[in-house]
Amino acid sequence: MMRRAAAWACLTMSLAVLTRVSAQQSPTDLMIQSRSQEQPQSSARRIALPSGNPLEVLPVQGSVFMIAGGPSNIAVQVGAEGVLLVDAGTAEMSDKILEAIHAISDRPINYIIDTTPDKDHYGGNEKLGVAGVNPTVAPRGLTGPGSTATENPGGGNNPQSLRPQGAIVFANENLLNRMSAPTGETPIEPFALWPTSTFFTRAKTISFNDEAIEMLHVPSAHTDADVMAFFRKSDVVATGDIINTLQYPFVDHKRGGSIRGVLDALNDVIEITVPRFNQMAGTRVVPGHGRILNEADVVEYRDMMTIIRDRVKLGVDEGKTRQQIKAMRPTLDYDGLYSVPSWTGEMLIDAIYDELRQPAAPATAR
Amino acid sequence: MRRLLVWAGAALLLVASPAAAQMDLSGEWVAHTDEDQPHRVPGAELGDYTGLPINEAARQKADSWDASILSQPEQQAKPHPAQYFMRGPRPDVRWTKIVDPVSGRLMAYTMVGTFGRADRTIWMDGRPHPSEFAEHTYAGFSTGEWVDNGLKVTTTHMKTAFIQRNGVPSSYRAVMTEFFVRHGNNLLMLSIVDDPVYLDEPLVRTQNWVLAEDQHVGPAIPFEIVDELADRPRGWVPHWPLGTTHIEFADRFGLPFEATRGGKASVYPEYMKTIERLTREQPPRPRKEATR
Repeated sequence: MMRRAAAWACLTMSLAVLTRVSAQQSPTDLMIQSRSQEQPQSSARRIALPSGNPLEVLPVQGSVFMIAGGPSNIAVQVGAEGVLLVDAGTAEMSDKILEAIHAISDRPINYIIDTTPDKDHYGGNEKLGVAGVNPTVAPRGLTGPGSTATENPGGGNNPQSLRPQGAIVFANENLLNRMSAPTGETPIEPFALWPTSTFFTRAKTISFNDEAIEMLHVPSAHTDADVMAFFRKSDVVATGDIINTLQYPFVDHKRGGSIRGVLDALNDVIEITVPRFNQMAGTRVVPGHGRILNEADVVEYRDMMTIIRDRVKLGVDEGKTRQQIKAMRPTLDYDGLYSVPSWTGEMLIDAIYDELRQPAAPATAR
Repeated sequence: MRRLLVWAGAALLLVASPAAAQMDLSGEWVAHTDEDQPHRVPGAELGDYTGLPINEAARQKADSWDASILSQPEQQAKPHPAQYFMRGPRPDVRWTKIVDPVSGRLMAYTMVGTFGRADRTIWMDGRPHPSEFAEHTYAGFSTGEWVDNGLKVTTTHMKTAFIQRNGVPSSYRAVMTEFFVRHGNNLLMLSIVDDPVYLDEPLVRTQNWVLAEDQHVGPAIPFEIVDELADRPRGWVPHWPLGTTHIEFADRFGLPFEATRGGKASVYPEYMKTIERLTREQPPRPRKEATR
């Protein structure tokens, strides 16, 4: 009886979410969708937000939405079980982000995946985490026949557990290392911003909202702590700052990043993505910043990085100096799209030049 | 000045048609490919940028374009993008009205049959263009409005792609304005592409179709992607190195090399005088016979 009631509750919640999403599609949209390979694109519709909220919520595909217009993109997976976020934005924007999440789901935030050790991606960990619910802890005050957990929260086998109440925050272990410090030293970031669950292997997986989700560590790309999240059923990849459509990929050598790693990561994304029809639609990609992509856009971005790297490498191989290589203007054809004051084409050339002049690092096991 | 001429031309196109407003464009249309046939069916030769108002960045990107890139599995099945589709081989298309079943209002036109089937939708219901964070597609996002008796279509959200099939690029920031005017059984299109990244001036082209009652555009057929090269390393991106000059086109047609490089000056008739001067200063190399 209890099981049947729970099943109905789940079904009702799922329908509520689906209704809210599908209400955005008009009969006209559906008529066109039935005869087109890529039209109309889901993200052309916007989810309405309260006035004064500068963010935008765009449907991506399946159960995944993107919150854009803030300091960084946030991928949001919603379903009957709850809400999962990929990145948390900044603390200053947390209230607006919560408002945006509530526009697509009234379920609690259960998980946050941090993709990169940049504050515009993890700064909201504390506020969004506290606003959420740890799915591995029984709700406070839950009672029933034989239960002793009348006040204290607890997991199934540990009713007196001291596990944190808020959402679980996943990250690669390197991210925690970059926020924290050895005992007795002052950490870079306060404890409240730290991830609550880290992994040091290549991948970590969970199943949530009836969907398998892979967290894939990408060694030495933008930094050494980058993680991509692949939503298998929705067919969406959230890449963090491995892809930034508003600028050249920022390679942070000081924090373990590398051009070679960025190219490896971009090739990983291309191997994951599958177009639906003739390079159109199919797997969607939520980048750390900028617009929603599919494989064709990632290929363009990968080709750009590869071509610029090859041009600089040819100069280095020919014994040209840094200035001589810059005088060849190897980024000219891409500067109009990707050069920004904080990370110009020349800075990218410097990064590539410096890396190519370094002794080769041992290959990473893939 | 050029922009003024373009708009004046567009106005003339609209005025020249019969007075009936909102002339329906539905039907099967067969393309006239005799106009600029060498560019449209075989495709432009490597290094031929004649008449394109491209800037230095576009020229560098086109010079580095290597046709071998089409052997990449992820490039083999690319459709023609909206900003180019009408210049490819035979874009025979079907325009269909999408009418709201309740109100009877015209909501959209669909245009199907483009190469690779990035079939287009032209929204006529007044909806806004999407957010800057929305996905860009090969078809782009198009809205239409009736201007006198022609259809003006504005397209944004196109992918980074090309405006000519020899690597001349078009960026995702491009905006395309088209005017479609029906003269009886003929359909005329004027296309204007504005691209702040790769063009110094708008690119203007025209295209004609004829109503074809015996045509029926078939279903979308996917291209098959195959392994073309066995030794392709992961992440292989073929391209010509910086400084490569593609002189074959100039040699073949007896043109001064500089005259093949495009640029906004090359769009105007006065550029013929420049070509004459260049020919005097830099006599073309002996013409080579075509080798195909």
